Amino acid sequence: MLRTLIWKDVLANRFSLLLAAILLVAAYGVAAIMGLLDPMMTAQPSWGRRLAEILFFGSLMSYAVAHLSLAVLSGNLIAGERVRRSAEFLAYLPPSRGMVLRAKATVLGTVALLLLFIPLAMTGLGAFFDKASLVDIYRKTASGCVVIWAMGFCDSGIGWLASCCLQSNAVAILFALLSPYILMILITLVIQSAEPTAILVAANLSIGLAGFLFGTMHYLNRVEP
Amino acid sequence: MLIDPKSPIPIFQQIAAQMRQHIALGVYKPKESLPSLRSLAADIQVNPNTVQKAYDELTREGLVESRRGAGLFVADRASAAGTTQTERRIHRQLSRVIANGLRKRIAPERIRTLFREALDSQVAATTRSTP
Amino acid sequence: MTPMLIEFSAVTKEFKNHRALDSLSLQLLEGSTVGLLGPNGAGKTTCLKMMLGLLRPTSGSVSIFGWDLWLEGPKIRQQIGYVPEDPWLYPWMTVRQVIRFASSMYERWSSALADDLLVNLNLPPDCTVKNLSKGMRMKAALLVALAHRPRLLILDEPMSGLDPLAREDLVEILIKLRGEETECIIISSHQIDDVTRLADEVVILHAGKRLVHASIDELLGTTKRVEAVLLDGRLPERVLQQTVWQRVDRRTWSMTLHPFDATMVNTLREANPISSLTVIDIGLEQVFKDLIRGATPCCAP
Repeated sequence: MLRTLIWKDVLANRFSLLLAAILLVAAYGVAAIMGLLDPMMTAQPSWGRRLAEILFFGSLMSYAVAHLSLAVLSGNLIAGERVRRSAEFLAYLPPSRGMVLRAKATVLGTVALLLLFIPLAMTGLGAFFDKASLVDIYRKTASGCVVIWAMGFCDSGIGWLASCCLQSNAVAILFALLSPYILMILITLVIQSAEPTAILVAANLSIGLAGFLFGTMHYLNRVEP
Repeated sequence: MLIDPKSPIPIFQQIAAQMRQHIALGVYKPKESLPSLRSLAADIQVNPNTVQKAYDELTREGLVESRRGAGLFVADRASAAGTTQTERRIHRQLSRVIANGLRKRIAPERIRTLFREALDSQVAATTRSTP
Repeated sequence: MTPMLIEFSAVTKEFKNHRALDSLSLQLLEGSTVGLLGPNGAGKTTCLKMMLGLLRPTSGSVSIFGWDLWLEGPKIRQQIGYVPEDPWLYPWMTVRQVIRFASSMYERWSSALADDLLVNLNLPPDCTVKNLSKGMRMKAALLVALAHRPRLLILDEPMSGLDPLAREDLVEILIKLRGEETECIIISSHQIDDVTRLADEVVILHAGKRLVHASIDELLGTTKRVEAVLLDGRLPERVLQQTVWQRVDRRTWSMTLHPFDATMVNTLREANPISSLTVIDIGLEQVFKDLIRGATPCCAP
């Protein structure tokens, strides 16, 4: 039963998944183009080094667009069924709401993990070609990566919450996309701190988690599916 | 066979009446089998239970009989004739009563009402006495 | 004793601004085909959703197959086939994919039966749901509902939006394809003629309450319209307790009596200034209208 629900969710959200795949590939594509054209990159001494840098920048950009993919997917997952009126059909079938959510969470979780680990793997591949300078760049950008990934988590959480509560998947996606930025603005206005990174990460992670929790609770208890 | 769901006559009575007519007209001859419950139900688009009720009534009247495992068959001449004889007699008696009423200048609609009332109270009396 | 299949015990359901069900008690037994009738807003859909374990009573309890509804929702839905009013399934799925999807949800699914139904219902297996006509979508939903051999089949307004031929088609299908394992069928419909054909009994709901639960033949037999002609300038003097609905128009005093008894004719004649009285048999649609009119406050006798 769970497997079929997952199959259904994958097919129902195939456009969102396709978008995520395209963005992922595009990130590396753009990095590759930059690697061939950008004077700073072409100044690099060795092939290995250039490849490592391309892979690394590709990974960085893929993190940046990952939160776009996650926002679209999470916004679509539940509200999309309401828009297409299949939510009612699902409600009358044997699976409990808990199981329905579990299937959707599996799809979202799998995509999120893939979007996290594929770039890491690519970076690892890059390190294979040129370890030293990679470690250097990595140290400079690590915190940025962590913040971006936390934004992705916030996106997904708010997207999940909005999707559980709203009738429109478009609005849910919008909320999901804007939430990390609104959060960032709020934090920089309210908290004047020299080390905003830790706070940003913590805030994004907690908002994301809250989104998942409240969204799930609301969905399990609401009258209309 | 055409059933009118709008009619106040219960559907099973409509079916029974039309079946009686078919048998009288020779559409189903004595010793011939009647359509099966399911096929008739599907044909006229009526709940099979209702068709069963109609068939039960015809069986009670002796017009049809059930043969174990083989379904329902039109009863042979003797019992069928017996029923129609009783019906003919009742028809004659009713005609006499009605003619009497019309002669005494009672309006046809009034006679119809009187007939209805008498029929209803007799049916009520029979249902009360039948367990 | 015939086992009780569905039992509502003093069920009340309140939503934010209105009360959908008001202390409703109902028992449906095995072997019946029940027509659920009532004006819009009577509580029919609320009733059906409760049977599916989708709504929880505000007070009272519902049990199906002996199991409590709210606690055993998924288990109960395994045994219920439901066809909603405007089934949408998954618009992007083909009929074959719908079958594949539904088959994994139900333990009692029969692939042989599903294939049979596919042929009998004339459904194009590779057509997507969004490209099916309304009648076809209804049939697809019916296939999903029937192929898992449900003990209870619930149809919510199955005829709505169908043209007369499609309706006749559906009635025929419902009669032909009723499975042997289906112990009870509930049809909620405004098409009273179709309910008369398909159902043995009716439940009439009004404003969340049960007005009537009886076999159709019994209901028709015990509900009569009486039309009396009043004497000049006189009004009715004694209205019978069994009057469900009545109206005086010029000299005609019309009333619907339930439960009717032949002795009431004499009582009416003796106690009222009338010159003549006629008893008329009425069909289910008229019975329904008169019962509802009689129950609605502005028209109550």
